[in-house]
Amino acid sequence: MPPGPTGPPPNPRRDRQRALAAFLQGALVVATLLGIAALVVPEAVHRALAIAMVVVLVGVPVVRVGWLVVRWARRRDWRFVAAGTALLTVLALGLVLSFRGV
Amino acid sequence: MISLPALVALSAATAGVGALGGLGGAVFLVPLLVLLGVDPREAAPLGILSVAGGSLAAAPRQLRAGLVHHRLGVTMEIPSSAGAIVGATVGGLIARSLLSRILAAVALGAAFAAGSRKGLRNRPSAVFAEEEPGEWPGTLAGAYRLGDQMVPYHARRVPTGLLAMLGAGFVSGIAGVGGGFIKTPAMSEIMHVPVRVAAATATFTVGITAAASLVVYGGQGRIEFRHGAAVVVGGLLGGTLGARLQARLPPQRTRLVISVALVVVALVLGIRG
Repeated sequence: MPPGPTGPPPNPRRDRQRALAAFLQGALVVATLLGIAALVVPEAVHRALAIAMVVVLVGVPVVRVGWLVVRWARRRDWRFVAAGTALLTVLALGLVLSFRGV
Repeated sequence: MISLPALVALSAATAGVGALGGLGGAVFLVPLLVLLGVDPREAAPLGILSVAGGSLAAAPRQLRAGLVHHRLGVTMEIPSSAGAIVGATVGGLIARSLLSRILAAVALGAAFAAGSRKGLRNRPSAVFAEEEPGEWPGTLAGAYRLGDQMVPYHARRVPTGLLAMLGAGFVSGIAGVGGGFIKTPAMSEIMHVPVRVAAATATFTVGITAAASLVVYGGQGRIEFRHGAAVVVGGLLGGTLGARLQARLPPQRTRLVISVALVVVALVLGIRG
């Protein structure tokens, strides 16, 4: 049997947020670049860049909650899967109500 | 209308204080913009854009530091979002001046609650010295790093906290602000969550509230995109700096900053009312 690595075994909780943090960092860079670009480009294209920036700002928190729900489901953390799903449902309901002018 | 560089600076300053205290920046930015002559109907979406930018900017750092309690944030955001929807629906029925005075009273009460408490409620524990900072699966508990020590905590009085979040969502729906200025003190003072965890978790939740509001504002055609870009760039800058500063401040100092900021909010809202 080959010798094992020295030191304590890797802690699985240490890196659990790494992917989510990388996603958020990427979104932050994209939103920043889009915002700066929307400030300096000519009138004709700034609107499209600013809309893309708003889409990133709106999409990231929703994707984040969806991501958490999937991760909790994998861990069978059903109470919080239900909480995350309820939150997404409330947000969807609000969206529908606002577009229907209620 | 205010110049774009001034808008970037104003947004950076307000988002920085917002991320530092988990208050969101809109509660400062919107009244300031109105005082500077911006139409309130345009100022509200700009404030929410600033909150969204500040929330995104603070997120990676607060997440890596293990300060965000996602389970707590998601649980608290359910009544908050529902309250925001109801508040936005019935908002027109409440006089603006009365609303501003109510918000000012709430902010003053929260400032007193945060500022009057001395010392640490959650103490470092040697038992958790090897623990990674963050939330504990399946619970509303966790541990965070304070200096070179670990501090365990768990949320108490959850039903009362949920009621407070419903109220926070309701007033944020009426007023067009993030509601963090109620959420952070409520989590810290009612639920006994450490103030840095409460601030980071509230910063996460105000991003969700802001996303929902932005969809509505976008649908109504109320977002002025050039000014929106300036506010977001400022919000991203201020949010990054605020989160960096928050990681270095001791909890007592963070509570003091929140307390002072809430008094300023109360004064601005009182004058506005």
